[in-house]
Parts: sequence; C-alpha cells; structure tokens
Amino acid sequence: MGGTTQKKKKDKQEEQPVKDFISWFEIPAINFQQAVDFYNRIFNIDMETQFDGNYAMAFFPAEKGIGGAIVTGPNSIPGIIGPLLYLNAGKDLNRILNRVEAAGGRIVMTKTLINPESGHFAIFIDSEGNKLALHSKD
Amino acid sequence: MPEKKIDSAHYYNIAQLRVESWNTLKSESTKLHSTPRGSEDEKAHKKNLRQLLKDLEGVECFFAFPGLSCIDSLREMLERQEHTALSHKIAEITKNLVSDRYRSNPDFLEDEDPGTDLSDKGEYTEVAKKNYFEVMFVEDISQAEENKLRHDLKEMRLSNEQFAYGIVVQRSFEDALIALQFNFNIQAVVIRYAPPYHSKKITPAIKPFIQNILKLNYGSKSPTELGPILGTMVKKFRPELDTYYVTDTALSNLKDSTLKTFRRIFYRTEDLQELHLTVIRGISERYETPFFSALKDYSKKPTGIFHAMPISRGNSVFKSRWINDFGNFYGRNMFLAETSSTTGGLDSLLQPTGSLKKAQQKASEAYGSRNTYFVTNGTSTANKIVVQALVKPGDVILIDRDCHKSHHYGLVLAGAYPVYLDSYPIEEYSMYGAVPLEQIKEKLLQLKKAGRLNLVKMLLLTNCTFDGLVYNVEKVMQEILAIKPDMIFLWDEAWFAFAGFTYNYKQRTGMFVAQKLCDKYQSESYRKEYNAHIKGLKKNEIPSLPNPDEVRIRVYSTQSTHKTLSSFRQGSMIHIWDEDFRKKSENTFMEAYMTHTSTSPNYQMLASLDVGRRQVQFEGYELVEKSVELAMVLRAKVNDHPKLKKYFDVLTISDFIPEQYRKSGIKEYYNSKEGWNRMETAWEQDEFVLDPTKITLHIGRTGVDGDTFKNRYLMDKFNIQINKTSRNTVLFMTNIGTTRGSVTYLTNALLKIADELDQEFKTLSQKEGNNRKDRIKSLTEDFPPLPDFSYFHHSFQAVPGVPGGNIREAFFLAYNEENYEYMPLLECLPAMEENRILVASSFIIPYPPGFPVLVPGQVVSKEIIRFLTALDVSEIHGYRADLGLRIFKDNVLNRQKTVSSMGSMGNNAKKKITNLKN
Repeated sequence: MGGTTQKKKKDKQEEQPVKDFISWFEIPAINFQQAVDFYNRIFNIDMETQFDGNYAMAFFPAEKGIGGAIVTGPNSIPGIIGPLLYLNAGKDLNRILNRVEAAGGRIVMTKTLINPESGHFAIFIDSEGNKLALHSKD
Repeated sequence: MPEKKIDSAHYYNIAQLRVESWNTLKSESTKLHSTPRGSEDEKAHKKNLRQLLKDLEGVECFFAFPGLSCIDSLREMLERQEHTALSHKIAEITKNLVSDRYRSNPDFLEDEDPGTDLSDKGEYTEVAKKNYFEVMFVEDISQAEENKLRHDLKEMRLSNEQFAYGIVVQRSFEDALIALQFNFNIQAVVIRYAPPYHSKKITPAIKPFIQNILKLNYGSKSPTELGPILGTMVKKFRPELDTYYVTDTALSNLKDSTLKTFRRIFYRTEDLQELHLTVIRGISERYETPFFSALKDYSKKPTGIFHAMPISRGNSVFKSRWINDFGNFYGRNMFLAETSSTTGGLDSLLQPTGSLKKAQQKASEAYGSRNTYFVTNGTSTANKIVVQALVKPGDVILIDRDCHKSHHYGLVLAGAYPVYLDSYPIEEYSMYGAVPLEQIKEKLLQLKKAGRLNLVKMLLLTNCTFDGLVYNVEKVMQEILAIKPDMIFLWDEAWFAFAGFTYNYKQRTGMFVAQKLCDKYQSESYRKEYNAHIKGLKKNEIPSLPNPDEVRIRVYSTQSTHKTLSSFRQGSMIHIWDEDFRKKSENTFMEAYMTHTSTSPNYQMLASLDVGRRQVQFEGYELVEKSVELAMVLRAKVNDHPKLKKYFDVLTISDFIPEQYRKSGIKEYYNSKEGWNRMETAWEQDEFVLDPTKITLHIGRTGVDGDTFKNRYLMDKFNIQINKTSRNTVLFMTNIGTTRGSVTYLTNALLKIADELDQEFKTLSQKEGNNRKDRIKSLTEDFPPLPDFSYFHHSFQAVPGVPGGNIREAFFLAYNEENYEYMPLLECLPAMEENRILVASSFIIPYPPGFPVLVPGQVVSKEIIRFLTALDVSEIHGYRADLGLRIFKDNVLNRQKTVSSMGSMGNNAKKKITNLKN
C-alpha cells in the first residue's frame, strides 16, 4: 500500500543524523543566586529566573541555537565528574575566563591551544563546584 | 563586686583550713600541756586555745564528726584545766580526721564520748564492712529536738544493714548549702517544713569558700517557697544526692516542679520509720551495679561450656603446665567472669535488654545525659561512632585542627568535608591553646555567604584540651546556635569525664549546658529577652541569641572514663543530649555503633564502667575536689620552693590564655603573696579557663628538653610516668587516684633533680658550660613557629575559596602507589622556592601531641616544614625519616586538567568545529 511506502520514507528521514547533538544543557547549583551571579558576571548577561515549587531555574539568553539553564533543586547536584560541557566563549575565551576567579570560580586550565583550526579551550570550576570548559576560536 | 578584683584566700579550700586549724589546735594544746601552771605563757596559750575553739566552731558546725558537742567538751576540759587529757584528745581527733579513719567506724560517730582512741577496736585494718554516710536534715529545730531525732533514727537501725548513717542538722537555707559543699559524707538531704533563709553562722574564715552560695539571692522568698527552691539548688550543685521534702502543704497545692524536684515528699503524719527506709532504699538503688552484679553472679554458677573461649572459667589456663602463672597472676575470679555468653543474667552490648541496658540507664542518670552508650574500644572509637552517626559524605564539619587523630580518621570514613579551625598558638611553650569563638563564627558566616550553611552539620571541639584549656561551652553553643539553630555539637571530653561531678567544672560540660540551654530556650523569659535582643540589633548586625522557635539542642559528648575516673583501659562512654535523637538519628547512630563495636566486648571493662558510675555517684564530688586540691598543693609547692623555682615554673593561667579571653582578670590560681585566687567567677564567665589538674612545668632553665626530661630524669631515675611533653615543658596530671604521698614523691624527685643539676653545672668545663648556656637559651628564647592549618589544595576544595576540603578523596588517591612520591624534608623548602606546590598524601601526626600537622590534600607550608624540622619527638606517624614526606605527584594535583578531544576527529569534525565558531 502507498501508505507503507510513505511510512518507510518517513522512517528513513528520521534516521538521518541530527544536526546538533545537544538540545539543551543544565548546570546544577546549590546556591541558586550565587550561581546566577557567577554566570551573569562572567558572560556579562542578565539571566531570566523562574521559581517552580522546589526548583529554581535561570536561563542562558540564547536567542537562536542551543540554550541551557542553571537549575537548583532536588537531584540537581554539582560535580567535577561526568560529562564536560564546552561553553561558547565567543572570539577570545580569555575575556570570560579572566572574570572567573573574581566571580568566585577557579581556573583549572588556562587558555590552551587545541590546534590552529579548532581554536582554544580552558577549564574552570564554577562557584558551585561544577567543572566546565570554555571554547573560542582565537 | 568591683571589676577585676579577684577574691583570694590563704587556704585553697575548707578541707585545708580545717586540717590546718586542728593542727594548730594540737600544737597549742601540747604547748599548754608542757607549760608550768600559773605562768604567763599558760594564760597566753589558754587564750589562744579559746579563740581557736571558737573559730573551729564556725567550721565544725557543718560536719558530723567530731561534732559541735565535741568542741563543747574540749572547751569544758580546757576550763577544768585538764591539760593532759585535752591535748591527748585533740591529738586523737586530729589523727582520725586527717586519716579519714572515723568513716570506717560509723558507731564511733554517735558514741557518747567521741574522740576516744579507736585503734583498739581493730576495725581499721580492713575496709569498713558497712558503708557509712550522712543524712542532712534541714529544719530550724532546737538542740533538744535534734538530739531526739538522732536518738529516734538510731533506734531504727538494724545491726545487719549494709549501710549506716549519721545525721547533720542545718537550720537555714544557706547553712544547708554550705554543709553540702563542705561535707563530703552527705548522701541524702531531708528538707523539713520551711527553713529560714539566712545563716547565723557564716564566719569570715569560711566566706572565701562559699562564693557560689553567697551569690544566690532568695532572701526575699517566703519560707514556704524556700523548701522547694533548696531542693532545686541541691539538684543543681549535687544532682546525685537523694532529696526528700517533709511538708504539710496539701498535694493539690504543690507545684509540679516541686513534685519533680524531690525523690519523695512526706507529710507530717508519716512516721520516721518510713523516712528511714526510704533513705536506705535510695542509697541501695544508687549502690546497685546491674552488670557488675550479674557478672559476679554468673561467675559463681557452675556451667558447662560448649561455646567459644577456652579461657573462660580458667579452663585452658589453670590446667596448663605452661601458662598457669598467667592464671595465678590475675586470680581465679578474672577467668570465672570471662565468657562469651550473653544470657544467664548477662546481656548483649549490641542489643541490650537486661543488665547492660540498666547499667547504661544508670550511667545516663549519673552523667546527666538523655542516652548513654558504653564503648569498649576507647574514645577513639566513640568519636568515630558519633561522627559516622551524624554526618554523611559531602556534609561539612567545623573541627579544631589539633583535636585527636581519631576525629580526622573519622572524617575520612564518613566522607565529610572538614573546615579546620585554628587554635591560637602558645609559641613560647610549643603548644596550642583553643579556638576563639570569633574564629568559629567567622568561618560559619563565610559558609553562610557561600550558601553552604545547610551542609554544615557539626561543630567538633576538644574540651578540655590535653594541656587543660577549657571552653566556655554555654557561650559557644549559644552564639553558634544564633547563626545555625540546628547545629550539632560534639564535645570531645576524653580528658574531662570527671568534670561532671563538681560545680565549677560541670558548668563547662556538654551535658550540663545542653540541659541548661534547653530549659532556658523554652522559658517565657527567654522569649522576651530574645525579642528585645532582635529589636535592639543594628542594621546588618548578627544576632547572638538563637531563635527560640527554631533552635534544637543536639549535643554529644565522648568521654574516656578510664582516663580520669575508675574504669579499665579503653572504657569510654558516649553521652547524648539530643532533642531530635529519636526522630532523626537513633537509627543512624545504631548503625554507626554496630559498625565500630566489637561483637565480643570485654566484660571486665563493661563491669568497670558500671562500678565507676557507682563510685562517682557516691564520692565523685569528694574525689574530684580532692584531686583539684592536690593539684593546687603541687602548684603552690613548686611556686614557693626557692630551689624548685630556680629551674622550674608551673605555667599558669596567664601563660596559657591571652588577656582578651579572661574577662574576670584572673591571672593565676596561686601566688606566694596573696595565696589562692578563687576560681568561681573565672569559670563562670571567661572565654577560656585552665583546668588546674593539668600542671604544665616549664623546664627550659634546666637546659634539658621535654622528651629527655621525661625519659632520662623522671622515668629512669624515679619511675615517674607522665604523658605529654613539649619542647620545653612536661605535663603532670592529678586525678581521683592521686594521693598526697605521690605529690610528695614528685616534689621530692624534682628537688633531687634540681640538686643534681646544681652539682652538674659546677663540674662543667668552660666549653661544656657554654654549650649548656646555649641550650638553655635555645629552650627559653628561641621558639620554633607553630604552623596553622594551611589550606586544602585547590583540587580538593569543595568550592573555590570557601573553607572545607575533600579529605576522603585525597586519602584514597594515595591508595594507588603511582600517585605519590617521597621528598626528603631537606629538599622541601628548595622545591617550594622553585614554586612547586607540595601536597600531603597522608596524615603526618607527631606523637605527642597526637594531632596532624598535615592531612591528606593539605598544601605544605614553609612553617610546617620548619616545624617538622625542629620537632623533638621520636614518633611521627605517617612520616618515614629515611624516605621523606609523602606527597602527591603533579599529575594528581592536575587531575582535573584534561586534553580536549576537539580537533582530534577526522575532517568532518573539523568542519563542525568551524561551524561552532558562530
């Protein structure tokens, strides 16, 4: 039946590799306000917050592309193990990295060249004890 | 009372005054006896004796032996000019008094003619068969009525009773409290009707000793109220005593608090027989030792053993041809009482339902806790149990860095993050003081600011410290609870088990303060005080009073019973005063208790804890007071003796405690000029006080260091054992087992050492003399710095810049031998000059004092290296001199660094990354 052919076609379409492997990211925090202040300060942004029962959230203002949030609440536990998230630090990551310590975080690796094509990265621990990376081209 | 004026007295306590007075009386009467009749001298001696007897009356009225009637009869003898008989009788009484022998023969006390020679009755060679005590009656009655009471009660005594008692009658509220403080024999108090408040007998001689009583002010209360108030006062000062109230107030008119205060309330109509039986019953209940008695009974039973433990009943010992000397050494009872049985009257420590349960309940009453648990592996284990019971991995504990090492290991086991608190250093004597409250609050506020206050579970402090520094427990708890109302306190009272049995000390123990604060915070008056306090706060000022609606009293104390009271070694107790124990921590506590408690606990040790409890309930007050007195005597002796003064100083309060922590202004317990300073005010108010029973002797001027002095001088030459030394000090302690004889022996030994040093100095050659001088200079003028806790390496900090580190992660990283390397001590400073960060991978614990100078994950500071280099003890746990300091390799410290996988993929990936640019 024609319907069957259509369905097969659709399945095939769904099996196409996705464009981006990340849909959304969340950074756990214990002290919500402290975490929001930290990211606001290093990225020079103003995050929108939302409180919902046991949870508090603050959103990275991504107008297009992939966004994420800070989340405080049950089972939202900061740490230095597990997946490593590379945050986009714009043109030169030092602009953001230089604000990390003053904001209450700690630099684990300073700006390090990956290769000329891939750019630079750096590792830091945020005010909540999460380990994250920064990435920039220059 | 004017500020900073310290009350002092010529005698340390009433016992000293009393013995001294009787001895003066004795020597005057001997002189009188040998003075010719009618001479001027005779007149003078007689005058002196009359005055002495009058003065003594003011003291003796609080004691049953020899009693006021005896003083009267002495006076009569004096007036009848029976000088020989008088001097004999005084000598006899003095002898009995000083040796305490009168207590071995209760009958003697009530004899018509006290003071007669007791020795021919031949009862003193063995321990008294009957246990003698005194019952205090508080009632304003005439002498005739008193005699009748004495007579009537005597009639009721049966010859085969185990206990025998005499009576002391006091006629006012104040007198009753004074007698209670002076007279160690009192075990029960009967308050009859309504005693008046004021004493008519307070003489200037006894005033210095009764400060705590003179401070009370119930003079305006009506007499009917005074009875119940006196009951609460007895409970406050001597809670172990039985108190009874005889009244005619109808039951319906008695307040609940009154009913609770007294063990029993009698009415006029009830007869003396009932009172007598109740008193005896109270004493026998206190005397009862459930577990010890069960063990004794068990050991008498014939049993067949098909269980573990061949040693039980001595079977494998006494029959052996090779080890029966072991059996003979300990004696048969020891083995008869060895068993692995938990039935037959015995009980299981892990789940007690019988004799052990009862024994622990009795201990709980005696030590003023809500729950008490026996621990058979010492306070090291007690500490680990409490920490594990209350904190979980990731929780934060505020802890003094120089606390006992068992706590640090406990933290590793529990996975809690320690925030180390620094005690102030006393560099001159190479020791630490205690942690100032300001610092604790500051750390707590830092944590609060970082949003980690809810992770903080416990404040852990050592009280008192090895060197005798005692915290102001009440102030610490109050001000910390004001910041964090649910803080749990663990007071490590390993050296302070005895403190619960005399009032000055007791005020600074965990259990007493827990009860006190709980009562306080529940009261209406506190609520008013709190509201006023909050209203009066300036903007941004932090309250120093806890919110009564939020505060929870959760206090744990661990005590080495064996260190300061009677128990076999390793006998310890955990005392708990936790409002939320049932609700929040009983289950976890039991899990922790099971984790650490042996399933084969030592029965002899448990029995000794049981018996030790009985002892403190009967004579804790007396023994502790006496051990403090002996400490004071030793302090005075070294202070006053010119030869001892030349080489030794007893360090005193001002040497240990900076002025800002001594609000009372007290500087020392004793000086030759003014005698004894009263310690009451200091112990009530000051941030820190010094426990006088820990006597630190500064020996810098001998040119011998502490360790050598301990081993080569005290131990090898005089068999005197001491526990702790520092570079230029040695520490002596008195305890409830210290005798006058041992204090004399020590003084003697010190004198001999001083003599020897004198001799030695004389024979030194010029060069040797200079060496000696250099050594003395080094010991008295050069002080190696005492390092503070540096900080946890960044990679172990919980949150950057906020105190608290993951000691457990560091500890277990060192389980992989690839992760660490050794660096000889001498190479450490040069390496640090080249900006290498050295991080300890193990505990480094010099012994003594037995606390870590480095913990896993801690960054090594220059001060720590210098301290380790200058250290003069031979035992340093965790450090091998042949290898050096065990530190983490750089790749461990950089373990959070990583390579990026970005850019390592094929060409496709590179395209992706190019996309990422936007």
